[in-house]
Amino acid sequence: MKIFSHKKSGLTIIELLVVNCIISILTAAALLAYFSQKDKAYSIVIIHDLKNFSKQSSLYYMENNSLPYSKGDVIEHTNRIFDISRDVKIKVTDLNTQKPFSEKFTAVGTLRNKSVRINMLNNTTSDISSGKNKSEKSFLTEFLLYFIYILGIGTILVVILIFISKAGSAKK
Amino acid sequence: MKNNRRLLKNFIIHKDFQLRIIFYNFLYLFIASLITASVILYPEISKMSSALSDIEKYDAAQTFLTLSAKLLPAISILLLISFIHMVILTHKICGPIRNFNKAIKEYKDGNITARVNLRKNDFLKNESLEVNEIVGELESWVVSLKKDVEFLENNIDSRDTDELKKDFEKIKKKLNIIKS
Repeated sequence: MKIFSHKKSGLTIIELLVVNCIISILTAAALLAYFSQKDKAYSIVIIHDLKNFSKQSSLYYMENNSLPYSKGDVIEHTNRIFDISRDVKIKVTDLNTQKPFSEKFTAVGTLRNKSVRINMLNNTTSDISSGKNKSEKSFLTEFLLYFIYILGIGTILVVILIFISKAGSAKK
Repeated sequence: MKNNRRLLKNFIIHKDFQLRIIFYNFLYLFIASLITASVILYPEISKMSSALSDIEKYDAAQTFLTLSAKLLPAISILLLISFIHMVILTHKICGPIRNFNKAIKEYKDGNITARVNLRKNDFLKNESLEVNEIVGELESWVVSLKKDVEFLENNIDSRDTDELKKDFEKIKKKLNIIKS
């Protein structure tokens, strides 16, 4: 019955903080790894779709001597001519309708916060994701950001729990 | 009796004990979830980096995105449910122990009319019934002993030696039963 003695031998604030910190560090590391892999997966899907789009455009042009889209058009997976993944949107940015495969012919594929540009003339791709410049945000900064967010949420939860428990014991 | 009643809303009735169990359990569950998620996603991650053909990479990326879209909400819900479950479970364990503790304190102070009152689906319900039964029996013996002593006190002058001897034997028997 010692557990119900009134001596303060239970969970201390330091213990709570340590548990909170461990959870925050693990979550921050996991989220960082997860988001970088997700970013990579987005890139792979967009590049695959853009290359597919480029090939199918060439074939269409060879058969019909024209293209089924014009500058500024957005092509989605519901399009019957092009095979594009769900959630990926391809916008035709620069297009010379007269000579599409000899001059400017580029498109941008977007999936969530990820954007990749393809030059359909030579099939080269470049990452043009806006608002997420890897060189600006270092690994450590991103890790610290996640860590602070999660630590904040954890601390709020701990405070709420302590508040509830104090309110409970005050009623008695 | 009324003191032993617990309010359903007071889920954290013993902060130190309950919070420790809840937090450590949450930490273990969190680590287990991380390991599970990494084991599930690792094959696709490794394929995305090491696959030779673009189609293989594309398939791996699609699988990774589909899996992660389903896995993360599932893990979040699991953690939330387990957290709530731990609060309720520790409450169900702490409540009965607390009531036992209160009743024992009452017995220590000499009040054997106190009983361990538990709710219908609480843990240690059978044990509390047994304790209440034992204490009830003890109480009835003590009451009967008190009556005998009172009777003796009131009638000690009017009774002869043989009757007194019989009365004392009766009390001695009852005391021996209580002692044993």
